[in-house]
Amino acid sequence: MNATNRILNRTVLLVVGLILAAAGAAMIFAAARPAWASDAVQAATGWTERTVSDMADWTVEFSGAGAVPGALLVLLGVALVLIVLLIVFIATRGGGRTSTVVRVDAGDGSTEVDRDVADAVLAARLRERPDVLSAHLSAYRVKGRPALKLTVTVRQGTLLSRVLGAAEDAVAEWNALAGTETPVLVHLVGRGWWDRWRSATRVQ
Amino acid sequence: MRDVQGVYRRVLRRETHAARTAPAVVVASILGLLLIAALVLGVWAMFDVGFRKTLGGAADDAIGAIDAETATIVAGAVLPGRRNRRGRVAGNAAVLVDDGVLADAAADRVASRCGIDRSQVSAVVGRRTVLARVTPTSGLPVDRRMVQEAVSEAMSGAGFDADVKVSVSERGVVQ
Repeated sequence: MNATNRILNRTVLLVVGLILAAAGAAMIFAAARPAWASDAVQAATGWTERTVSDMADWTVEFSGAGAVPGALLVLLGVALVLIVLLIVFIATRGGGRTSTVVRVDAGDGSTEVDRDVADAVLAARLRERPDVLSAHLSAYRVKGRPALKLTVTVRQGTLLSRVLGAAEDAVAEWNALAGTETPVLVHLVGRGWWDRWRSATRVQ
Repeated sequence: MRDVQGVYRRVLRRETHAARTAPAVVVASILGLLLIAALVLGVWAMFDVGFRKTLGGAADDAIGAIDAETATIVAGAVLPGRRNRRGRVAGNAAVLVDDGVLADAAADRVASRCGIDRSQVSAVVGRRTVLARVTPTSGLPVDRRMVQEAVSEAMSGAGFDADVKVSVSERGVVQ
């Protein structure tokens, strides 16, 4: 439920993948030189060699380093910009969590309700049930407004309809308490692979 | 009144599909490290003319080494990436259930309905079908219809319907 831009994730993967694929295909062609594509390969190699030699003519004088190819400087600049963009990309993943679950604006002030209050009403109610192993509540901003996610780990052998019924009752109680209808996602999860290794019985 | 249904639709779609954050971050990190390396080598090449010649061949080798991962990266970008969960909107909340939880519930229901041990039943919940595998106790036949009904009940108890397939093994076990 976080705010990660998934289109951007896929765009990064697609662009990098396609660049790698193109580079790989070009190298295979250059190495194998199949007969049916010999003209195209020859033209491409000729064009590349001409471009490289043209570029090499364009140099910039530095006092310490002598003549430096201008193309190299441009490539270094592009690499620097790309590095900054990638750092921004990595830093902006995730996010969207919020600690305010309800906000009521009155004429002369506003009231904010913290996530812990919703946790005490929604998750604690489910936590005390014997067929629920754990329950926790997280809050995210979805479409500009808070939405709640109630993650419930159920015990094996539970009647799911009972847990879902209890969750719906808790949500109804929360909506009555908050005075607004907050979207709630109830997520039933099983025990993870780690918990499955643990013994099913416990000595009281 | 805000558009609660729209929020549910968006949230359920996002929660039932992979975000692709981890592969994208890994690819971006590797690309970033390669670019930093290229930057360092490029600056080195600026001040060391002899180094420029050796650089070209090394770059070709590097591209060739990474190319093996290309298919995986493109597949990650293009494939839908469904997660093994299913969701629905129920009254005042949206419900999202992991397929493993549904399978456990279905197998439990079958075991108690048919009066066999829980270890003799297994269920696999796929995207559209639920497969229940039952190993009967030796000498006690298992009613397929009863198994089917038990699975359907467990699924509809959580609010989902599915195409139920039952497979009863030929050989029973001795309890």
